Amino acid sequence: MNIPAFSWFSAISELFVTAGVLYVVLRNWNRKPFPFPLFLAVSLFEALVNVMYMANRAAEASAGHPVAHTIPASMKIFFAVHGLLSLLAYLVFVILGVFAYQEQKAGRWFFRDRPALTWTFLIVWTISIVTGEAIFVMRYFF
Amino acid sequence: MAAPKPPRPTTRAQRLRSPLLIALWALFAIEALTGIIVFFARLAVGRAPTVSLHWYAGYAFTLVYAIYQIQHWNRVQPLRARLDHVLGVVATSSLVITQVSGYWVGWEWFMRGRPMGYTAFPPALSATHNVMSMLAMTFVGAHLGAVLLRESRARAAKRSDHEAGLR
Repeated sequence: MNIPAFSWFSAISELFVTAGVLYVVLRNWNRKPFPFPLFLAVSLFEALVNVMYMANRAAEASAGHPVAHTIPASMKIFFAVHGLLSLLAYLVFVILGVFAYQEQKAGRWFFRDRPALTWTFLIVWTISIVTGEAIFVMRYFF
Repeated sequence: MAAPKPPRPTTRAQRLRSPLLIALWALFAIEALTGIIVFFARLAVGRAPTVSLHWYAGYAFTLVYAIYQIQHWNRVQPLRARLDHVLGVVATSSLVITQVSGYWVGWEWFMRGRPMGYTAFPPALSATHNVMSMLAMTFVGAHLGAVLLRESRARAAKRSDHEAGLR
């Protein structure tokens, strides 16, 4: 099957974004300075490249477009759930990152001080990434 | 004789309770909720059940938001190299692009006679509107969170200084 170049790019870059997210959390967890430029770059790249790509594909898969008829209903529901989960994961990452940056200025370590919240966020983020990669594999390899 | 005008809110607590901001939050919540429903339903079941409410509430949101943003800018200007200001600029830009792209999507819908089942919005335009609304929700939350956290820290520091002075 012919896989669009941007689908490959998005599927691979998503893993680098995840590495960036883990790096931001890990540095804070290890009481090291918050990498704000990296945090901002990851946040904007994720929204303007990866999520934009996903939203574009989701719009094409929506009713009223020729592509929509070629996708099974169960896959569409999976797309929609992944879309909402990605929104939630992204929103939480940015807000928690901003809090961590501010707390660090006062000598506190936001992620380290809130392990339950941090682990919950990491689990949600991981599910969001794994479902995204699963959609890529299911769409183009099965 | 005309009734005296109520005083303009001055403290953060008063501003958070102002009718304008409450109306803005209510409309923002309606827009976010109906937008999420439209996104999910268009994709999963091929319908856009709350699109009319999303469209008409969007008009009201733009009006209330414009008034709020002018007042807000007059109060916080000039722009400073501070986290809450940077987040505010990203939030404002996202909100403006969301509304412009929303009117464009709405125009497509309106020009087709507002059919209930119509969902074939142009993909790139629909994607831009969805992503920008996600950025708007995220950065409005981050902006507000940053401001409230900074103030709560300042209050705690003031209280601690006061207690140290009493000892």
